[in-house]
Formats: sequence, structure tokens, C-alpha cells
Amino acid sequence: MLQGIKILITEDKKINQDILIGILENFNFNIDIAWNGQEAIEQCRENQYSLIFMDIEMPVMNGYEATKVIRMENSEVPIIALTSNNTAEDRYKTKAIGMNEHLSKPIEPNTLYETFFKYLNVA
Amino acid sequence: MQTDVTLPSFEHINTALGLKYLNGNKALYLKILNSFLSRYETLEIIMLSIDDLKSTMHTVKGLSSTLGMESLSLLARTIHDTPTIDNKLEFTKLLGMIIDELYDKLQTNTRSILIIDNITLNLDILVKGLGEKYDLLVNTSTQNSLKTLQREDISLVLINQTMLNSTEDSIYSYLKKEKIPIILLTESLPTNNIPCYDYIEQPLNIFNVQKSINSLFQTQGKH
Repeated sequence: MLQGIKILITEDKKINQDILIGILENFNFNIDIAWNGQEAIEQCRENQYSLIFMDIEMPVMNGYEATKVIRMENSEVPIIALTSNNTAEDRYKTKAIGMNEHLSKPIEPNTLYETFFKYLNVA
Repeated sequence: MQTDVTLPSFEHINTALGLKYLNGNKALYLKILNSFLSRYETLEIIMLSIDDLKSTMHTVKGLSSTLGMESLSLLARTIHDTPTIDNKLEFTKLLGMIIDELYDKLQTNTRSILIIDNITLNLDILVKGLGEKYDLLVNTSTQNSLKTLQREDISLVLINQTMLNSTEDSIYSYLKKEKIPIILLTESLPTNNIPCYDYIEQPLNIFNVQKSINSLFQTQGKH
């Protein structure tokens, strides 16, 4: 039931993209990649995503700035922050900007799965 | 459940922890360890600017914790918040030990080589001669090369001299900053004074190319 669901991974480091794609491979998602916040905005305008994974610190445009723009154009799509930043201030900022969840690295796969099951409305 | 992938054991890497974060996927874990090796084998943090240091440590702290390199992750966090000469030296030493272990124990380390050339004959020779041993990326112009360099873990660039005009070139500047070695493919003796690891004259002889690459990678493998 998850097969073919379209998700966007926004991450500027290929090695981190490979990790996330590897962890998600069994779910057969239809995965697009954006290398920075600006690309994520452009991808969101051209595609309908069920979920977005968003890194925070990226060149060109960071995850906070991208989320602000995406939220102006789409208030519904779940946006999950994936980041090494984990202070209370970081978590507050994530939610204040309009992201739905803040997952800090290293990410437990089960936590990741619980999160997207929650937002993809599947059992 | 994977039964055909054997993980080596490491002194400085907690593979059980790394596997946990990668959902028990041994093949993925080995792939990411190889990527880590390619990406960080030449990292020298002592000379990094404050901004570059913070950015690098931000990436390393998350990545190394995911791979089970707990001590390295902790050091990266410390340096990110409060860099000192002592903690930077400690990081350099620990990273060196981890890189040495990865070199010794990983059975495959496929390096990525970026070829920047628009001469079909050169590309034929290089792709046929090197394609089985290395992960090759080809750009026929410099237009997309900077993007390729920023997005891929490139161990070496083979570039036609006509495409690298001077040391002011943005490609050269990036390569110098990231310490990615260059082998120039030249018509004759190079005249543009671009510092590089080696020059190889055209028409290309694949054995000379391979000899130069072997020499470079063997030099890099020693710590």
C-alpha cells in the first residue's frame, strides 16, 4: 500500500541521501531528490508529494527558508526535518517554521518508519 | 536477512551500532563506509576556516554517529561548538586511525574519477581502459563539472588542458580547496602553469594513464 507513494528527499550530501534511500528501499516509494532548498521548492511546484524529508543546513537555500516558501504554497504536505541539530531551540524552530516533525541524527529506522506511517495515513 | 555479506570488525567503529541505524543492511553499511572513506580520506581540519570547520563538523557528527563511530562523532560535536587546537589534533589523529582501518579492512573501495574532456577519442580510450576498475563520471564541458564535483565523491579529475585555462578558473579553485588531485591531458608540454599531480600527453596511452593513477592512489593510501 506504500508502493508508488511519492516522497521528496532534500539533502545536499550524497552519502546522506544514500543512507536514507537505503533505509527506505523496502517500501518501494517513488523517491525524488532535491539538493538544496531552492530545488525542493521547484520540485514541489511540479509534483504532488505525500511527504518531504528536509535537511536543514544546505547551500543555496537552507531547510528553514525552503519550508517557509513551501508552506505558503502548500499547508498540507508533511515536512519532516532530518538534522544533526538537536537542541531545544532547534526543535522549537522546526515546529515554528511549519515542519511537522524533527528527527535528529543518528536516526533510528523504527522512529523513521513510525513517523512516515503517521503522516501517510497507513496502518 | 543478508547471509552473503561479511562485515569486518574494527577497533574504532562499533559496527553493531552502525548496522542498527542502517536497519541491519550490511551491503548498505559497507557502501556507506566506502563512501565515508572516499569523502574523508584527505580531510585536514587544522587549516579550515571557521565556517568550513563548522560546516564539516556538522556533517561529520551526524554521519559518524550513524556509522557507529561514536568517539569521532563526539569529537566532531565538541569541535563544532568549541574548536581548539587540541581537539582538532585529537580529531585528526582519530580520523587517521579510522581511515587506516577502513583501507586495511574494506575489500572494495571503488574510487570515482571525473573525466572532463570533449575529444571523443580520449573518452573512448579512458572509458574502455578505466571503466571496469573505477566509477567514472564524464562531463564533455566544464559547464556542469562544478555541480558534479559538489555532488559526487570524486577522488581524481582527468581534465583536458584546453578546459582548464588558469588557476583563477572556478573548477581549479574548487579542486584546490577540496584537495582533489588533477591529472592534465595535454597536447604537448603544458603551457598554462596549472599545478597538478601529473601531465599525460596526447594521443593517450592507457598504460601511462593507469600508471599515473596507480601511483597517485598508492601515495594516498599511505598514512
